[in-house]
Amino acid sequence: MAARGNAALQVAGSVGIALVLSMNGVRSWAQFLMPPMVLLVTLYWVLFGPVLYGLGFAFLIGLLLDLMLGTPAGEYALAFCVTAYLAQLLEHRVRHFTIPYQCLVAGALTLMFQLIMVAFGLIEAGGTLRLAQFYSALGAMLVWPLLVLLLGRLHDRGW
Amino acid sequence: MEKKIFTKPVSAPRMLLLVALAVVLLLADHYTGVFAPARAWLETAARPLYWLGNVPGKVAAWSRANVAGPGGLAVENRQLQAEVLVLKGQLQQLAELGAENVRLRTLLNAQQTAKLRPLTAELIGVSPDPRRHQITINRGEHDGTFVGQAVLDGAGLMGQVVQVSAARAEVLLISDERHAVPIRVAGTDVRAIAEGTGDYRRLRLRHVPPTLEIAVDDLLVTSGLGGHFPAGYPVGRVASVAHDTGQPFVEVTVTPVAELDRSRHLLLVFPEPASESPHGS
Repeated sequence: MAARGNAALQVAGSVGIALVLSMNGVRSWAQFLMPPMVLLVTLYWVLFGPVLYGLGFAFLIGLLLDLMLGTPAGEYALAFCVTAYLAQLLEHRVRHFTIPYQCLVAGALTLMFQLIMVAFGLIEAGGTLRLAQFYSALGAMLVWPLLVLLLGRLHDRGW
Repeated sequence: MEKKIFTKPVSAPRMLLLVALAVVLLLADHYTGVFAPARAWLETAARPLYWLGNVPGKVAAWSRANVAGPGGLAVENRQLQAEVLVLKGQLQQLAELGAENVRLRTLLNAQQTAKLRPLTAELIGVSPDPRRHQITINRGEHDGTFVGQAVLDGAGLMGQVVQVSAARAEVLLISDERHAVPIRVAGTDVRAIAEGTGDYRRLRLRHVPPTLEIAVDDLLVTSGLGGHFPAGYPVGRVASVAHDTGQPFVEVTVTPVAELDRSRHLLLVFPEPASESPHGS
């Protein structure tokens, strides 16, 4: 029970820190490089966390983002859920991959997530599609090793 | 990396069920305001997160203000004094123009324009989604902020309030793709609609016929039509006018005058009914 409580605390803490990091948006071209930190942390827990943290967990984190950021409720939830499902499909392989290959998977999953969000944007606003909207996949690939290192440390100590 | 004893079951039906639930939530949110209480509660709960997220910005602002040497401060002080002098001069002229305007409007038997009361606000957050040009400011219901209120910076129109909670408000910037503002060309009074493009440095005018009198560097101001924005605030300058002979409309791009991606100190505008109106109307 103590281990489970400890895991919940670590998951909540890491998601909270990711939320803080993503709220401090850089408003320039560099903003497009900013990886979706909350998504990456969620994917980490879906891939490497306890059994409890699966699709439902990703859905709830997405819904939390929807309510906090003022997006229509269900938008992030749907995108998080589908991306987490794809991550679960690759789970067995990813856990045996070396870090560079994991980075490629993180980039591909972020790209999928951005595709869903861009599709929502097009439906909502009839906006334009720009290549810059997918740069965050590059940012995700750069950040992933650091994330695995930091959260992996927590993991080793936790349970 | 093998840390788990059990692997998670990968379930497509479960995913489809959650996707269906998300669609139901989207529809429910669109057609009813069922999530408003949850959003209000989360706004209060997330206040420390916003504060923390804003710390780097505050540190940067503090270091800019305090780390500059005495020489830098003296130069800045001189510049500010010169600026104050220029503004004071313009203000004197404005008072005279205001009085003249009232006299002329009385002569024309026209209704006086509403006076506007400004309130300063500070930027405390930016939407993490680069597609959404939305910012959070530190004024909310407690300060009288309301949905649809115009937000300015020192140079011109920034956007409008789209969501208000107790101590915070979300502002949609004029450069967001979902935003449009009725404008007129200062001088010629030609009317048009300026739409956001998703680029902080560019707006576009929609459906401008080639016969319209509009040229590069023309100043565009809010027209006040539609009732959302007070009239006469600068929106942008025409950057380019391109006419493709095969097209029925001219492509006009506009550079906003407000520093949409930089301003941290903003003004909220409150309309105040005119205290005196000619002929009691």
